[in-house]
Amino acid sequence: MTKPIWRMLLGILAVFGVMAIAVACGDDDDDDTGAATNTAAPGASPTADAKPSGTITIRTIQFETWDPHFSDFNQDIEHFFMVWRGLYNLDAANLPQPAMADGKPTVSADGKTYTVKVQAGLKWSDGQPLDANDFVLGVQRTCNPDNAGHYQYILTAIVGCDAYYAAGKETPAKKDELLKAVGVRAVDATTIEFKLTDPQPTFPILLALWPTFPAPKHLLKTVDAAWPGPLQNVYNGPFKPSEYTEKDHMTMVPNPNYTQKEKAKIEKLVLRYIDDAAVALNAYRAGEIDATLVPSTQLDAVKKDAVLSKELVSYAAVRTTGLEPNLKDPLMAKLEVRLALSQATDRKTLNDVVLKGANIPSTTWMPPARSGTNPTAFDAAIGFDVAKAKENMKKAGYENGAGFPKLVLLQTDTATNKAIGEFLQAEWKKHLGITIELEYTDSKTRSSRFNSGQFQLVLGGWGEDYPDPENWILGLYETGGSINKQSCSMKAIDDLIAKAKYNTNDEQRRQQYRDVEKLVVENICGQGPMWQVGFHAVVKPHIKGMIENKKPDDKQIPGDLYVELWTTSKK
Amino acid sequence: MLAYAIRRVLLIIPLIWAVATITFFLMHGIEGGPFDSDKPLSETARARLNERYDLDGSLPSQYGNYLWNLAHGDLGISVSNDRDITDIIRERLPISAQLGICAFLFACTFGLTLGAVAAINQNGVGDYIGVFLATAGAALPSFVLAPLLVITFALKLNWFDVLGWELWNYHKMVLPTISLGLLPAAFIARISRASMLDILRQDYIRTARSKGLTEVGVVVRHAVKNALIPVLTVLGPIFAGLVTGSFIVERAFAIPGLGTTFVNSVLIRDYGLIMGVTLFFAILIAVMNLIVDLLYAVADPRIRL
Amino acid sequence: MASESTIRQPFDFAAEQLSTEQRGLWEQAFRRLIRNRLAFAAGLLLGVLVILSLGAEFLPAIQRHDPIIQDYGITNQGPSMTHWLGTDILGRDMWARLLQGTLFSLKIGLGTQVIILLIGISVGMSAALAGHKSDSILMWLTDLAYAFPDLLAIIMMRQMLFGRDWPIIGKGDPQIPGLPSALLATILAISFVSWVTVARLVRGQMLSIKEQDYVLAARSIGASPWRVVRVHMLPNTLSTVIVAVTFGIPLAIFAEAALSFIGLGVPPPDASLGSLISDGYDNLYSNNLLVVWPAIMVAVLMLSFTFLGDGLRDALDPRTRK
Repeated sequence: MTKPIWRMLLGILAVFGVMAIAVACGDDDDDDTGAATNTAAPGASPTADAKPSGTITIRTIQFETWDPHFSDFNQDIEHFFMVWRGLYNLDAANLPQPAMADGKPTVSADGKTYTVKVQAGLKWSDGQPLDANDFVLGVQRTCNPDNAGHYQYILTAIVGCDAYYAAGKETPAKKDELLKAVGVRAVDATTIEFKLTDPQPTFPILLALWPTFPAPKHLLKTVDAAWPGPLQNVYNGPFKPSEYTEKDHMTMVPNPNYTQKEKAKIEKLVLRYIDDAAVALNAYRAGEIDATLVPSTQLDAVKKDAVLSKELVSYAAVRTTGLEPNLKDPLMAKLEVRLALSQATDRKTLNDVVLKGANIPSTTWMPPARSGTNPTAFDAAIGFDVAKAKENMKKAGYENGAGFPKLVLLQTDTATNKAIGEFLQAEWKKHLGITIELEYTDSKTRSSRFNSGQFQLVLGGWGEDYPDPENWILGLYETGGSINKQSCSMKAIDDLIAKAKYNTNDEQRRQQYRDVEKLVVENICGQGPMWQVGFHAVVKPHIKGMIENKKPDDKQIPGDLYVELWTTSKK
Repeated sequence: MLAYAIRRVLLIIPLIWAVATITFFLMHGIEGGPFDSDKPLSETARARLNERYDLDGSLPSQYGNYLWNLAHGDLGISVSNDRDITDIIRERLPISAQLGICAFLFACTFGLTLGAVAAINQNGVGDYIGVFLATAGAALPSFVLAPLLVITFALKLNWFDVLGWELWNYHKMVLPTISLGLLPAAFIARISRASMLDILRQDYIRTARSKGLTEVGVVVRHAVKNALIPVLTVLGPIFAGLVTGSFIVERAFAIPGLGTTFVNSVLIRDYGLIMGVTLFFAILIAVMNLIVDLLYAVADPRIRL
Repeated sequence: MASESTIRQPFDFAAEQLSTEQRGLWEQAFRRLIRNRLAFAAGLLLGVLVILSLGAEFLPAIQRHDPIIQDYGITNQGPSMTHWLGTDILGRDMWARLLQGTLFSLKIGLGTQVIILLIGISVGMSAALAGHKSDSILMWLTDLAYAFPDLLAIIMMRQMLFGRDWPIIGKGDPQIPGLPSALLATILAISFVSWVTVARLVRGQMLSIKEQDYVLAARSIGASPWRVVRVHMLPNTLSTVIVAVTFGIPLAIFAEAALSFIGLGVPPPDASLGSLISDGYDNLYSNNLLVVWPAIMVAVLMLSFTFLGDGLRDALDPRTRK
């Protein structure tokens, strides 16, 4: 009895010993892992148009819903673009290029009617025909009140879409009537006609996005029928799911009926669902996955690693973070206080020290990729300047922080946010002599407070929905805007937005949005930008087509909007 | 004993009702709803979503509806992905259960052995090593222990996999089992040591020893069974806790189990899923505790239930 | 206990007067505790840690640096003469942070155990002694508490406690000196679900002790029920309870750490050992010392409580004298 026990104890001791030693030697032998995983020979370049070959495994996050006419989650959108495509697809310059459509749309003289030809002979992945009616059904589903799509608002320009969506409590007969009034119809099997309330210059872009993806009329009896799950549904994109376990993984194989020029070049695409990015990075180190995001907390470790540093790709995403004051709050209503807080914030040190240099310090709201503006354009107005900050505090009546009332910065509780909060608290105490309170809640509590206007100051921002400047302004900064939760209200902004919204002169329109941005930022009208978010990922060298096709609006992996272009030299 | 068992089983029904009621009002009482996302929704969209998921009625009527459906065995659908909650639990439970049972067996074997060895060698080398091991094993919270195990055994030594769980595939079994089982193992070791020491000092053990039985014989024949009683008490909740999954271990190895499902359901305010998983836990725990109480009576005939 | 000992182990205790028995027991226990070198050392170490971390609150000389002062010129440094344990990602002194974290974690550990013991012992005892009906009901209650969704409760409590003015517990934050609202919510939430184990342990022990010869003997010579419980039953359940408590302290510290990991821990700039570990975990690859120091502290606390607890239970058990 005792002998085996001792043997077992010795064994366990040995395990602990090995662990202790290996951990103690920590940084010294990082090369081991690299040497073990970096066995694939890079040189062999894949031949174009060959039979699909090889498997690529990427890390992503479990999608919420499989329904493109309902969802607006980042990871869901990534999945949608792998298996479905719209009439158009955005190219590297974000110009809509025909995908399922046959050529560019024809626009009526008043700019309110778009006619799109659909390619003849298209098929769903199950071989059933795909025609104009499927696209019409897709748009109708997005406007459908019972489906309750999150993203209906981007189709607000389509005649009758808003009215139909608002009819949640109407009788079925009334709903039917409103459905018929929605301004989208199939003229014939290859022609779709869209009727708009106003000329919308960005409409072709919307025809490349998931809310206008087709819906299979042969699977859906009615417009509000339930959307089939991944293995029951049919597809018109480069891939289709062949195997799926929720929260674990999804395997995709090429869709044989995908008729576009660029077809899938790999045999198998495995999406491994991993919530924790640090775990995913370890799996990447061990060679279990081929590409993943790098969390900013590990950025410095990756940069120091001999192998990983070569596989790291970093670029600016179209996401901006800033200080968002609630202008309905008596303290935050004072422009000088808002300016002082922004001017007492050393964005560069914050980024270097707290965020490990992951992001691009900025004072602009729209990312350079959208506006063409230099990220430091508004430094003079709201950038780090202690003298100006003190001056503003004095003007507001709180010289050296005297008599400054209670100010709570509300944030979601994450390690990074804690460090940011601690940084701001210490900096503002140092420069302005004020002590702010930090409140950390879970994400839903924060969002709920923000959405109901019960906050003074939050750290927030915006991630782009579609590649156009209007997406950074509309609804956010006009008086009464549907998602203007900071209650920004300036007549000059309202006037400019009214002019820009239906302006068909593209250059003029873009300039008008740039002018709005200037007004918002210089008045910190609900937004004091701090940084443009950086996108960091590691990709194994045997993969081509990811980094080459990267875009600022990539979802989880570089190039994940062009999955048909990925190749691997690993068999 | 049968009457006792029947009474306890009948008490499970009011338990479910009480848990359902508390959870229902608690979760609707906390701030934030399923549709409060970082990117705000317009009021119209919010209204549509509330209608779609029947969240637009008054709270009492929602509560009534929920109980009515519950009585018919319908747990409803998840707000986040429209799936039947029964399906979600049925899919995730086996994974958590496999991992939990492995961790439980590991914890029991490792813990009881350590505890027994420590008790027999009280204040001797074996005791110190046992206590030290039990403590060292539990000195790191599992969210640090798990990555350390991964870095050591998966990345440096390449013995095991970083991701996943698969029954009978030791590459994917060892690390999650140890990460999950080490803390309960330490707890079991401590409790069983204490209880063994108690028993070893009882008169009947002296009698057994004086009869000339070997120490091993004494321990095996007389001490172990009696020392199990306090251990049994903690085994019930430990088993229930392990089988229902651990958020941290499941997250650390990307295992789709019930633990992550529950924590996420709370964090995203997926009301139906919160209710479903909580009720499931409640039943499981009630049943586990009942079994433990019945085992008591079997292990110690003097206890009259 | 002495009367029991005189019956069963006549050489252990001289026949003493009942009135002095209790003091005698505790005195003896204390003497035995001191004689157990390991337990004594553990107790001493714990004492030192408590004094250090408490002292750090009031005497700058002990913490040497302000735990919340940041210096971006000296981030992520290793140990040195100025910064004994190095600095963290914001250039704060780790020694000062560690002491602050230790104090917070001790508050959490001890706070939860006090509540757990109060509820656990009374429920467990009543269940074992008060007859079948109340046993069933009390065990039903423990099932209820165990199934209680603690995560929901803690989110709820943080919401109710943070920065709100309450009529009874006062205004502002902290409403109770030394216990910021998030800390209080954490303590309450952890206790709410953890008293069950103690209650069931006590009940199990009591059920078994109830039928032991010495209890039956005491009852048969006409001792009052309360006396039987106080003198004979409670002390004999102590050993398991003490083990559960000494284990419960680090367990509570971990529970808080796990809550920090999910994003429901103590709010910054305050730190607990749990939040230090959880923040340090993010920097595991760049500066693993940030995890190492608090992890060592947790291990030391855990070992100390373990040895002290084992010493205590041995000392309190009259049969273990060596």
